[in-house]
Amino acid sequence: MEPLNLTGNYRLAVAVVMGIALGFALIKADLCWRKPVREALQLRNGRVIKSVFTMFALGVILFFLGSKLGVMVLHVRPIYLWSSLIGGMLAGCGLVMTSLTPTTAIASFASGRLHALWVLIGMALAIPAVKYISATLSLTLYSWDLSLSGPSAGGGAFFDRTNPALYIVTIMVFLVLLVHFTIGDSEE
Amino acid sequence: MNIFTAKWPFYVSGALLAILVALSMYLFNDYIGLSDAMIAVSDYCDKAVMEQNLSQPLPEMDWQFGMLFGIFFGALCASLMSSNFKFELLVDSEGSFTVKTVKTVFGGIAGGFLIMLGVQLSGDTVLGQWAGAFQCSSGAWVFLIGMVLTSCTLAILLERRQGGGTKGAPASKKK
Repeated sequence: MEPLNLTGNYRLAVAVVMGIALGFALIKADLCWRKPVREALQLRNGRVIKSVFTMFALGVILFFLGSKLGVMVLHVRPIYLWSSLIGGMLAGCGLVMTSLTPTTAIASFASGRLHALWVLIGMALAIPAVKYISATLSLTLYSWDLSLSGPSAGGGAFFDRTNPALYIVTIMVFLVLLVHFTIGDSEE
Repeated sequence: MNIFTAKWPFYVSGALLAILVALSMYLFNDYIGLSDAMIAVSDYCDKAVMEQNLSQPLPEMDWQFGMLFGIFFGALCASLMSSNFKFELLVDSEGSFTVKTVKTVFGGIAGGFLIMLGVQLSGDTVLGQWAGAFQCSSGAWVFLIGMVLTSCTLAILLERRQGGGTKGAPASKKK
């Protein structure tokens, strides 16, 4: 078996349907509202945190099974340590200020939170800004960056000790339980 | 429970998000991520402003654009069905109208700028990093851990500075 790899109008139509489902799920998971996300970052809202950890646990299992069946193949861009780390830290600073990411900002705007437009404008301004400083970045950050090894699916079985997916799922399940019994859910 | 109106338990929303991201890798043979669409829109705007000409050819309508429109309409439907749709011009914060306006505009632009700057440096949007994390990509995990640790630390420190951290503390000061 191999990935379906839709083409043409089918690809576009399915993308729209998938996007609708994704937008629906983002709203239902409370990932588009400032208050629950802010509370989750302050470790006061267990529901959002548990949703995200559950997503990672299940997603890693799904990709492992999919790659074993041959229906999913690895698609990862070149990986560099400092770019990823500094990029993550900068995005974290922005996340505290807005409680939104590019995708959730669109969903938040669609749900009437017109102030998300300013976040989208800020995001739009960052793209040309990176282009203009790309020469400086090439001489600094990218020149002393460390290339990381690509992902590996591990051995044969899921419970193989060399399988990184096993460790990720174990950690995520542990974190879900930890959050469930410590932070809890404010609405329960 | 009506799935269209009620709030979903964490295991339902988490599972659905995982299935959608994984399913898109099967259907499109590509990792989900909207950075290419956003860069295409930015390039179009950049060219239009530089050349003072709006008759540039529009960016090609690919699957990432389709997904962007889908997310918009999906979120609109979900918020209308669950009565969460509400027009909000300014963010919820303490202070006068001017303070709120300044916080909304400058906070929004600066925050959005920082998020997209970080995302551009690391190579993909947060959604793309989720897909990378599913594939056990070390870069995606470094990005996500860096983002979560930074944002949690800053959010907790800011909360303490604003006095929010004392809300749950014992009422010794009240005596």
